[in-house]
This record gives sequence, structure tokens and C-alpha cells, in this order.
Amino acid sequence: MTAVTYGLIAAWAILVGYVLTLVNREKQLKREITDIRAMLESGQASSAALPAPRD
Amino acid sequence: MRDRLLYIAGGLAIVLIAYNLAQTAAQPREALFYIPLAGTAALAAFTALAASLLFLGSRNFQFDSLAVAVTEAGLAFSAASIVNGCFLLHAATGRWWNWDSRLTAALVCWLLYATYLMLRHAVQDPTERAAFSAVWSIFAFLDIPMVAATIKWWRSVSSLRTDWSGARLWNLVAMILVGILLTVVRMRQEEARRELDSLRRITHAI
Amino acid sequence: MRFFRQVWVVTVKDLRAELRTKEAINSSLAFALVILLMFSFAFDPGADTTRDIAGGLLWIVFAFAGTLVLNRSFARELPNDCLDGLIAAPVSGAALFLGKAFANFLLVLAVQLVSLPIFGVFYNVPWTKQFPELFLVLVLGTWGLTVVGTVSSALTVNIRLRELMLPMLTYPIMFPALLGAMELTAGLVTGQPIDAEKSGFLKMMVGFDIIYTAVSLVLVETILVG
Repeated sequence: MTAVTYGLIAAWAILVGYVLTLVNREKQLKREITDIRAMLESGQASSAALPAPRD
Repeated sequence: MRDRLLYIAGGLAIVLIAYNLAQTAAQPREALFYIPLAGTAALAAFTALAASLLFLGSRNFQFDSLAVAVTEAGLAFSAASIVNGCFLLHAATGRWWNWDSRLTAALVCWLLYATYLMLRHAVQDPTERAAFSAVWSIFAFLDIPMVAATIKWWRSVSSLRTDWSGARLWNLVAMILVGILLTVVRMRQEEARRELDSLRRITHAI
Repeated sequence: MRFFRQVWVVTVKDLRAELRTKEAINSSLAFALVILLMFSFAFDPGADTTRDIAGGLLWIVFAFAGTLVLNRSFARELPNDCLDGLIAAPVSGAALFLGKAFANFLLVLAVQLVSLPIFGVFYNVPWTKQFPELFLVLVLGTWGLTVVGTVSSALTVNIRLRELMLPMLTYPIMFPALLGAMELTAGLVTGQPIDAEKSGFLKMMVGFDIIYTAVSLVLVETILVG
């Protein structure tokens, strides 16, 4: 295990670390999508319960 | 269609990376891995400049997403190349950091684009953030040649070797493919984030 | 000519506002003195080796003290929506920027010229021997610091952590000019003339100033108006 090998491992470790941050970000985005979907559904449900505005 | 292209590019990148790993295992002394990494980071800087200029010209936010994606990928590659260079330096001279001209210049350029990311995090309004980051990306890119030249005058010797050969070109292509993949993924996430923000605003309005 | 008159008006306005209260310039000067003192605790002021690096230390002092002045530059316009008023005025963004940059330049240069004799006394360096060249390096370095700092001030004016972001943005960009200024000043302050190998740094500083002034003038409209 020469220094070159360690260097290679270190370099790839950093790139893999960046990929992991991307994966985390994806998870966070999916969570927000479900949140917004829930908000939309509850919003539509509550606005359907209100009487229609009379213009 | 775009997904299929991504998968093909990913497969190609994996093949090339496997080839380059096998090569390194066979001839460990010849592996100057930091060159393709640094080359990809430089390409990322160029792309960031182009994306920033295009954003300022057209005000199309997709260019802003491209700029941030490619800058983040470039920072990852640059960090990898600096760390790799430190290991090589240790093998050659016994010290982890000796203010070698190439490594120091790489570190300063890394800091330049790290401030770009910090600026993005600090500005809240999306339009302002995109405009400011585009301007700062241009400033940062203009600094790179001056930093490189000045540090070269300051410490004229570089302890790291740079000999190119045909095999290294494949490493560079592999790295560029990986870089493109990372950029595209990140860019998609940024676009998704923008769409989510606008959806959130609409839901709050409703 | 109208452009230069507008620049002059903005410069005079900023200088007058600053000189009436003298907040930034006093705190900048005090800060410079404090750092000079602290450096003389850190490095033995009598040793010969300290005299070799004294020029570099001087530029660290100037960079930090200059940041205090530059921070106030656009931040001063925030209360009472003065910044909106300035942007709405029939003055081009470039004239506004250049006026502020000149005002900052004069203020930071004043702080530097006052701290220079004190530095000479503390570190016992013959700084008057090469004074014209030293003044040239001061002017070039300070103009670079001012241009980049004023742009950063405009960028960070609405950010929460303004005082932290301004130095973080300015110093990495300033690297070539600061390094050149430090190398040149280290020699000049001990009385040595600029030799051939250091003249490259001088050209670098001139190039840095020209490039960043030009780019800032073009892009500042985007920063101010969005």
C-alpha cells in the first residue's frame, strides 16, 4: 500500500462524499415533495368544505 | 431519452474508471491521478464562467442551476486533486504540505469558489442570488490566472511531477464523464428545488 | 465629462459623510494600531528576521483595517432607504460605484499613511528611504483592495452576516495583489530598491487593478439593480 494508493483512495473518497451529499439532498427534496402534496390535499379538502363564494 | 443517455454515460465512466484503476494497480508509480482531477476542475471553472455569462445575458435560470452544479462538482474534483497531491508530495519529500506552487495555487482557487458557494447560501432572494453568484463567478474566474502566475513567482519550484502520456488521457476522459454526471444530477436537483419553491408559494397562496 | 462630475459628487458626499462623524476612520486607525501591537507581541520586534517579514505584516494590518472602512461603504446607505434613493437617482451604477470606490480609497490610504510612521517606529525600519516606490505600491495595492472591497460591500449589503462575509469574499480574490504588495513592501520598507525579479509583482498589481476596475464598472449595474 504505497502513498500513491492512499492518495487514490483519498481522492475517490472525496468524490464519493460529494455523491453522498447529492443523495442526501435528493432525500430532502423527496420529503419536501410529500410535504407539499399533503399541504395541497389538505388545502383542497378544506377549501372544498367552505361554501362557494357568492359573486 | 435523457435518462438513457445518462445511463450510457454512467456505464462508460465506470468502464473507464475500472480501466484506470487496473492501470494504477499495474504501474503504481506512473499514476499521476491529480492531473485528470485538476483538469476536470479547470473545465468546471470554464463551464461555470460560460453559464454565468449566459445567465447574465439571457436571465434564464437554468444557466444559474448549471453554474452552481458545475461549481460544486468542480470543488469536489479540486479538493480530491489537492488531497491526492498532498499524498504524492508526502511520498516524494516526506512532508504533507510544503507550499508547493501548484498545490498552493490550487488551494487558493478552491477557496475562491468556496466563497462563491458561501455567497449563494447567504443571499435569500433567488433572483438576487442568481445575479450575484453570476457576477462573483466571473470575478473568481478572472483571478485564477493571476493567482497561478503570482504563486509561481513566489515559489518557483514545484515538487510534483507532470509528465503526460497517452494513458493519462483516458483518465481525463473518465473524470470528465464523472464530472458531467455529477453536474447533471445536481442541476436536476437544483431545478427541482426551484420548482418546489414555486409550488410552495402557490400552496401557501391557496 | 458628466460621468466624472457624477463620480466626483458621490465621492465628495461619501467623504463629507464620513469626515463629519469619523466613525469608520477612527475605528479603522485604532484597529490598525491594535494589530500592530499584537504583531509585535507575536514576533520579536527587535530581531532581524522580523524586519524581513515586516512588510508582509504591514499589509495584513492594512487589509484588516481597510475592511472596516469598506464595510461601512454601502452599509451606511441602508437606514432611511438611502440606497434605494441612490439607485433611483439619474446616476449610472458605474458612477456610483466609482465615486464610492474613490472615497473608500482616500479613507483607507489616509489610515495607511498615518499607521506607516507608527509601524516604522515600532519595527525600526528605514521606510523613508524608498518612499516614492513604497507610495506607489501602497496606491496600487489599496486601489485593488478598494475596488474588490467596494464590490463585495455592494454584494453583501443586505446579507445578515455582512461583517463576516465581506472579508471572506474580498481576501481570496485579493490574493495576487496582496501577495505582490507584501513581497514588494517587504523589500522596500528595509530600504532595498525593487529589483528585476520583484518588478513582475508590480506589473501584476497594475494588471490586477486594471482588470478588476474594468470588470467591476461593467458588472456593478447588475449588482445594484439586480
